[in-house]
Amino acid sequence: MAIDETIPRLGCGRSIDEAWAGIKQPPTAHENGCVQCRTARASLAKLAEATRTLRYNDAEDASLRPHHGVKDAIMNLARAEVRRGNLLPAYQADQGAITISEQAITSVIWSGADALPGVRARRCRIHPAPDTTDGPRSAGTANISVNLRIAVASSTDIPGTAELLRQRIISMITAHVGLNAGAVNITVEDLYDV
Amino acid sequence: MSDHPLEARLISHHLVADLAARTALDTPGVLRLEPTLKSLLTRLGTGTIQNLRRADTRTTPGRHDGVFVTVHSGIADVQLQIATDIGFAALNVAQAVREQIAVTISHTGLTPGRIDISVLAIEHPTTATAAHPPSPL
Repeated sequence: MAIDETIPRLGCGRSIDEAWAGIKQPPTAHENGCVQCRTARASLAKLAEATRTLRYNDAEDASLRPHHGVKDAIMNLARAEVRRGNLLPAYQADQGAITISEQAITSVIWSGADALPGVRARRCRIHPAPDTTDGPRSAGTANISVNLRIAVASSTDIPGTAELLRQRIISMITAHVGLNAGAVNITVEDLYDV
Repeated sequence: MSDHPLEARLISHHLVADLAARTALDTPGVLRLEPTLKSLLTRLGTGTIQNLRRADTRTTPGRHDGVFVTVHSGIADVQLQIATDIGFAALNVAQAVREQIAVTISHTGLTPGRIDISVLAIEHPTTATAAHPPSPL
């Protein structure tokens, strides 16, 4: 059996890690009969007690608890990062990459959709076009695809409004994001009374 | 006195981060740097106990929010997160930021390495001011 020379071993051949792993258990028959193991367990027991005390003190010491402002800052950022969604690749080169968050693009689409009379934007998902994830972007390349769900006023001409919305989304993504929208799929999932 | 020149490290990653942040904010179309968990935790990691006890995080210097810099072998890598003005094409703004930061790093004597830019928000400037007061970080 190959022995890893980098792991500290007791005179009996056991690793110090094995002794540490069983420190919370009663000593085994081998440990009861082995001088090296008994000595190691005695030393490790002091270490275990010291770490337990430190852990307890840290939990009890109010001065070591983060201030609520710090906790709030961390939680606010954690929530913001979840809201941002995926980072979509927009440009890739040896010198670095540019990514744009799904939320950033969605906010542009929502602002365009909600400005159309009789349209309320709902869930929006953005996907990178499969053939444009690598390499510098070139003009005219389809970069992303958009799947947008909307609710429309009951009196709305749905085909006409959907086409108007599609053109609006394509032009807004070009103007405000700098990418090109290849496919813009619009699903009318609800009607609402005006 | 020795004839050998003294070796000294004059440009730290903190300075590069400052320069990158300033360069980004000076680029037309950039509204602000966007803090991330990574940048916050990196900053908290410096003087952790002091940061945990701090009563008001708004007094914490936020100069490195949204910027992460590593300097190795004279090469500076930068990761930067920004919010852009909806009046500009975000991709073009990010390209301009990348190019300007590369120039700025060159002026320090370091070699620009990878400069990764993430656009995390695209907003109207007025909305940005109202919805996002100066970062408390």
